[in-house]
Amino acid sequence: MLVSITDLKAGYGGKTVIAFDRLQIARGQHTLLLGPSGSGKTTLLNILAALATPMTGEISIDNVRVDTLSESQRDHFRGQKIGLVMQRLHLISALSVRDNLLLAQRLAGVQANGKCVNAILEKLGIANKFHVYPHQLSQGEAQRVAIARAVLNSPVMILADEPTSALDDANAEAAIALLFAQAEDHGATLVVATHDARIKSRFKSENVIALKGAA
Amino acid sequence: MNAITTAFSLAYAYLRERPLATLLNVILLSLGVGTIIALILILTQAEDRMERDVAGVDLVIGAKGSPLQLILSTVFHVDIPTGNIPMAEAQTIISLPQVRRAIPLALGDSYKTFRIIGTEAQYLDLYDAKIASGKMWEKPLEASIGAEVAKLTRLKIGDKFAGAHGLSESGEAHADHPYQVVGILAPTGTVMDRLVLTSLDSIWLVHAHAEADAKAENARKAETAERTESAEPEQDKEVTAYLIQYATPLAAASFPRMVNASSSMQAAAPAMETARLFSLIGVGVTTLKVFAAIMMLCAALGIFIGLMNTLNDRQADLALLRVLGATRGMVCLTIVAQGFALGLAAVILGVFLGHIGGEWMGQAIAKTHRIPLTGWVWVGEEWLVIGAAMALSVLAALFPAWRAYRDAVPEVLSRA
Ligand SMILES: Nc1ncnc2c1ncn2[C@@H]1O[C@H](COP(=O)(O)OP(=O)(O)OP(=O)(O)O)[C@@H](O)[C@H]1O
Ligand SMILES: [Mg+2]
Repeated sequence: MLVSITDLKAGYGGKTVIAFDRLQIARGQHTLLLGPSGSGKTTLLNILAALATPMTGEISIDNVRVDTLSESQRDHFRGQKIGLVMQRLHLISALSVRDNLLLAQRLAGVQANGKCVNAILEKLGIANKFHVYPHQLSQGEAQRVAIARAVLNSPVMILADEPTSALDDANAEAAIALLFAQAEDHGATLVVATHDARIKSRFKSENVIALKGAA
Repeated sequence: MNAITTAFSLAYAYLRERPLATLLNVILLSLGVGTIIALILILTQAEDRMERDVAGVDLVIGAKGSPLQLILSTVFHVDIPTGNIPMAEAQTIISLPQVRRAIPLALGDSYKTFRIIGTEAQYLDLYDAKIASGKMWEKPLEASIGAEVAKLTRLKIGDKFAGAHGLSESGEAHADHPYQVVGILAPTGTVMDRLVLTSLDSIWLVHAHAEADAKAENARKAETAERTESAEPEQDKEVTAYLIQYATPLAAASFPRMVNASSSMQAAAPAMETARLFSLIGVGVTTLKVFAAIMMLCAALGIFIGLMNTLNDRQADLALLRVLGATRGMVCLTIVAQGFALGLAAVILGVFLGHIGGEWMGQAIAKTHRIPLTGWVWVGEEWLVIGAAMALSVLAALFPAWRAYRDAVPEVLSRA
């Protein structure tokens, strides 16, 4: 199992937002978290990304008991094992595309490798944007760079929060295709959270987790 | 180590993203640093220089007037003398047992603004001055010149020159009594380098003739037949001052008071007068230093405000760093690194400006007072200024860094 969660309760200020007795994701089992706004998709993703700690529950990711790690250990874990793609927030504004990717390597404690960065940008068709700054990119381009960065350190899991809701149909389709392709390429398991039903067909129906919210 | 280079490269990128604010902060801080350093450079050298010029002179006896003026004119050779004193009267005082050594000085003439001093050979001993080439003056109208005089006037041994009456360039020349250079002194790094030294007799000779000529002229005009002799009698001879070294430090307690009370002359202590001088200059210097310090504080405030402002804009950015695996400490470090980098840039620029400013001030002073001050020296106190500027910049970044440290990533992300 890549992800194994038991007795999870998570929420804010003592109020439970999501609760699972048991949640498991196998390696390669690309999963969709589907639910309306406020149902707790982001809350769960934050826990999977080790960005937030649950109120109760045991979480093991890639055989690491994430809930027992210290905060800085979780930071290192995230940097090395998890790739994140978000709806809007993609890149560090002060850095060029290439430097954004190099930074991701350094923060993960990986030796910065320009060749690797160039290769991935070329593969994603944004090689001509190497030295461009984020504000000069379109939303779609910025997201592609963010996807490139998410797979750069060969994570075990790629978490994407609403990766398509800001995009039109064609771009949404392209983005989800790219996420799948990159996840497969790098041997990572993809977990997407969205209320965007357009992409549901991409996932096997048994891999769609419907969230309704605890309230 | 890796974390630090990463933090600094990020800090650099962030600072470069806002070039105007960065430039303003760096310039403000560097002006503060530069001003203080320039002042330190000039003051330290001036103090150092004055200390060497005082050279163990305990007391100066000269004509009544401003004691500071007496010291400035006879020890540092910058002001005009207070007048002359009769040698005969001085003799009774300098022969007292409290006096170990008394060096007579006779001032009044100059050559191209370099002062011609009538004195005795022991004046050289005060500054450990040696003859570099040629010899000491012996006969009247022979002169040994200081190293800087030789350098700037290009006078060589054997050259003749006429002294000008007074201490400025505009004085009337004593063309009928030219001096001859017989020796050049080795550089001492003191006021001696800028003096033309000769015997007391030379001065008396030149002035006796000048006076006699003047009197003769008056006499002719007044049609009075009374003729004075061409040289004054021994007992009428005058000098400008005596530089005194005490036989015992105890003399300092009563000797000056005794001179001031019991003679027509005044006694002034160089140490006291220079201290007074520095306390006078001190007010201005303190004002400037306070002004520069305020400038540095404003710069630190600018850094603080700038970082606080960007904090709001960059909150999401910083959260993204955490998403990418940066620890809270790392995020903190990128902000402190911005303060540090600003401080470092300002210090480098400020030290540079300070030394250029010091050199500029030094040259201005050198031009008017012939005191060689320069900006091209390093003074230990500069490290203090550098340390203070760095500390201020880092301090200004600490609170913004703590604010960034505190942020919870999920909350920031949900707002983004
Ligand atoms: N930082 C927070 N503090 C308190 N309550 C929060 C916080 N973040 C989210 N919530 C609440 O938790 C619930 C779940 O929020 P969450 O962001 O996980 O939903 P979501 O499914 O991601 O919604 P969306 O589709 O709008 O992104 C919501 O009711 C929300 O109001
Ligand atoms: Mg959400």
